[in-house]
Amino acid sequence: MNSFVTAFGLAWAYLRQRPLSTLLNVLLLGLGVGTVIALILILTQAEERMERDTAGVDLVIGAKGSPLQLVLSAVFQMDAPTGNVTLADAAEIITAREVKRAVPLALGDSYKSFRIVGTNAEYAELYGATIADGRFWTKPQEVVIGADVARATGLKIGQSFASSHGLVEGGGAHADHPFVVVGILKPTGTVTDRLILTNIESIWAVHAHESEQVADKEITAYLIQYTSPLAAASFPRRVNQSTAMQAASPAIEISRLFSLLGIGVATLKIFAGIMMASAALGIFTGLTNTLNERQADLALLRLLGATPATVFLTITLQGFALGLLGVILGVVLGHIGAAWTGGIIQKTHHMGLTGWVFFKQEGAVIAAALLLSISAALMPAWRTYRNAVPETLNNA
Amino acid sequence: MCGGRKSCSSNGSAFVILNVLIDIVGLAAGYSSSSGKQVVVNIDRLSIAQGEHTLLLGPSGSGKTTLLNVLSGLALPLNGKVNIDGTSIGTLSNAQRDKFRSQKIGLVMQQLHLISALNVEDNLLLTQRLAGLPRDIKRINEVLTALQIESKAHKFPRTLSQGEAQRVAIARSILNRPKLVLADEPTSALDDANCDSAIDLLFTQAREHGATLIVATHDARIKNRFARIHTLGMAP
Repeated sequence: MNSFVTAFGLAWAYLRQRPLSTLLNVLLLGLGVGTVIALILILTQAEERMERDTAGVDLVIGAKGSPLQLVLSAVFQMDAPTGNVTLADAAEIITAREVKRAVPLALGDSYKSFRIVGTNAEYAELYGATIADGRFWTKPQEVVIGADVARATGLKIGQSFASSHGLVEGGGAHADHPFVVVGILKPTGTVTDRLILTNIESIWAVHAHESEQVADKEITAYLIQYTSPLAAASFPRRVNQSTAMQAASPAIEISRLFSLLGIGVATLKIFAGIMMASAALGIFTGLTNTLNERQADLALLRLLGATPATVFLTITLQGFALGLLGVILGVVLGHIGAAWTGGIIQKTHHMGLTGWVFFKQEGAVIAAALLLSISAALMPAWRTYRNAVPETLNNA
Repeated sequence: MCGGRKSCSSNGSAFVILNVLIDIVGLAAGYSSSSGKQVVVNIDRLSIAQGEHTLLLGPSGSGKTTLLNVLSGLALPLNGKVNIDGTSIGTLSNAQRDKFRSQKIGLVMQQLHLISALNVEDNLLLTQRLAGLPRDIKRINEVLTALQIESKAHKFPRTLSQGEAQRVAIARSILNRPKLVLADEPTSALDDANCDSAIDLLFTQAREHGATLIVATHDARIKNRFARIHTLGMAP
């Protein structure tokens, strides 16, 4: 224990002697660890979020276009819709025997960048969303808002607001058809937290002047639940081939999305790995270089009574201390980075990503970085350990 | 060799009865290599009494450093016995020899190495710590004051002049109140003025702390300062 304290004190003194190279190694390691941790935080949260949002939705049916876009817009409320389908077109499909439940969605308007979704009570059921305050809508122009919406906009029960056309801020306002808040949902950790729900008739009413000449009412998409998982084998193909609509499976589209993202993520991970490896290399060369300069110092330690083990520890602990500082910096940077990225995404997509959560994968990254730093110090430490003092004394 | 033995027997015998500090019998010292044992120095008999400051004189390669390595317990003798203050150092384990050295022996090297990353006071604190002795700031101040370098306590080695660094090295060698101070070429890197003051300081400090001084050198300037000189010849 005593020799450990001695070795640590010495290791620290040596690191302070070379502040620039110490800082550089810590920074390099910190950036590497930080990048990996930020990636873990963002990706894990996004995946968890998407898993929760997809739960219960087997298939999305909407206008033809990109299947990924359809899923993103209808399930995650992130992308623009592919278009609308008419009730008449959809009528046959949604009554097929494979369909247990078809939840209609009508999109198009927003309030302060929160989407207004025309649907029915089943939509809230899909996500297990229940009322925290107030009640569900009973007639057009009544809305129920998600927990995030309530917090961000400050809307209260009884308050009314005018929606704006389009899914982002800046569209023309529908001042003539104001909505009134009748209920606030409990937080669910899903897409419902950041939506304004109303019945479909409200959306139709708001847009009545635009679709006057269209005989049929329009729907943006249907969220489908199958009666049996077997339906997945043939039902989507039937929709795609025999109707003017398309069917997209959230599970397939999400795995496609992640494999697309995966290239970018892999690049970032490789980049972060290179940074961590450079840091380890920096520690290794730093210690090896100073070893030659400090040969006499280390021999002196032996002369003064330090055991070979103490000298070994003095070198190893320098690697450990650099690793520890780098990891601390990396964890702080990673979480700040994730919070910052989450904040940027929040402005447009309300994903609710935060930097202030911890995942156990972080522990693996921390352990790996520490192990890397210590291993980088082991070889120089071993060389010192094997240096016989009397030979060095001759040169000293 | 011959001269050395002569001075041994004539001067030594008077002290042997009093207080023997170092007693060497039939020593062969050197190093082991792949081609076998290389004997660098042979000493049949050498006794040094407590307080009997001794100069080890001899040209380069005569085994001065090898002998100091054995005396300080850094190297084991190839043959023979070495007793220091009643302890046969050949019988100690590595760890015991490390401890013996750090507590009983002060070392002054040719180049005055201090731990570069530590200031003067921390260098001395480390010397106490590595010897397993309790932290004693009072003692450190006492030694620094005795060597008139108390104002340098918080300076780092690279900011010291050579003379100051020499004093710190001497301060360190006597810090733990050793029985024996071994100095390997302590003056050969110094100019005449620093050489004189370094030897003065070594003598003064050794006397004040009751330590015996053994200096190995080829520096003829300090020859006449020692009452006893042991000359080492070239290895056979």
